[in-house]
Amino acid sequence: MNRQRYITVPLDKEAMHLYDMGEENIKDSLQWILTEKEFGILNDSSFFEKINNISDVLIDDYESEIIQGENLERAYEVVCLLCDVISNDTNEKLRVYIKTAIDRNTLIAFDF
Amino acid sequence: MQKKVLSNRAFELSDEDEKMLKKYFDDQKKKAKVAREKAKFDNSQNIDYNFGGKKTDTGEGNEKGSINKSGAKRAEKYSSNWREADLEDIVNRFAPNSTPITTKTGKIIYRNDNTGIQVVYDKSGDYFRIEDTKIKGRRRYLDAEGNSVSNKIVNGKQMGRTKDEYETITHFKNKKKVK
Repeated sequence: MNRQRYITVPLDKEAMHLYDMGEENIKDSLQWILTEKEFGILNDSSFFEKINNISDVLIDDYESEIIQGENLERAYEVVCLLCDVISNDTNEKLRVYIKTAIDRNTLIAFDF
Repeated sequence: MQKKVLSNRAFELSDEDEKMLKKYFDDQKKKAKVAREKAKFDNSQNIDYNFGGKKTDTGEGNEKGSINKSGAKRAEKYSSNWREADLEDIVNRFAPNSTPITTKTGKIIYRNDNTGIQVVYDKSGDYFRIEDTKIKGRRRYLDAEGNSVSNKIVNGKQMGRTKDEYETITHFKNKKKVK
């Protein structure tokens, strides 16, 4: 069974508020609906486990979690290293999403 | 310590940090292998979490995953705000006679193929959620009565729930310990 898993980056503070209320607009956010294959690539890479270990977050399947603040920079360092070790479109896309969250001073949300 | 600037980076990692992180990813591959063996063993027991369905099955991709303990941490952090409900009652109500499936992240799924509703039980945290897989969008989890709770009514007006409110109302501590 294919489930919908979302990665979202609000592009400004208002979009962050809308995300928090479950009312985000795709015009004001980056939104990525992961395929099973993409989720498998990220999960098998141990990216989520690494971020959970070094930050106060709990990314998990069937759960929702956000990364913001200084944890975004940690996540960016890890995803850059991941892209060096395993370069593929999925990892690169995640890197771009995290970089966007840093540049926009917002957050990245994982709704699985 | 000599610093190395990696291409297209906004940050710097020392050689030592980079070596450490690469070692981390190698270690994860080894741990995943151990976890695969453990998952095979756990699934071979076929004794728990079955409330009337067929024998316990393994989920897709289970053979290549690792057991995740973040559910225990999540419960420790948040469960004081969660309501209690009986897993067995909820499974019998929403997914009667379902065959439990263990995912590679350690969740146990009881699915009703007719309704698309599934109960997602986290063994390590001893809590569960109820998901309606037919709902489009990211807020697919229900309350214990099977209602969508993305919105609430305040003074007769419908408005969205905050993420924290939504998470609290869609997680349930298991009232009974599973035998």
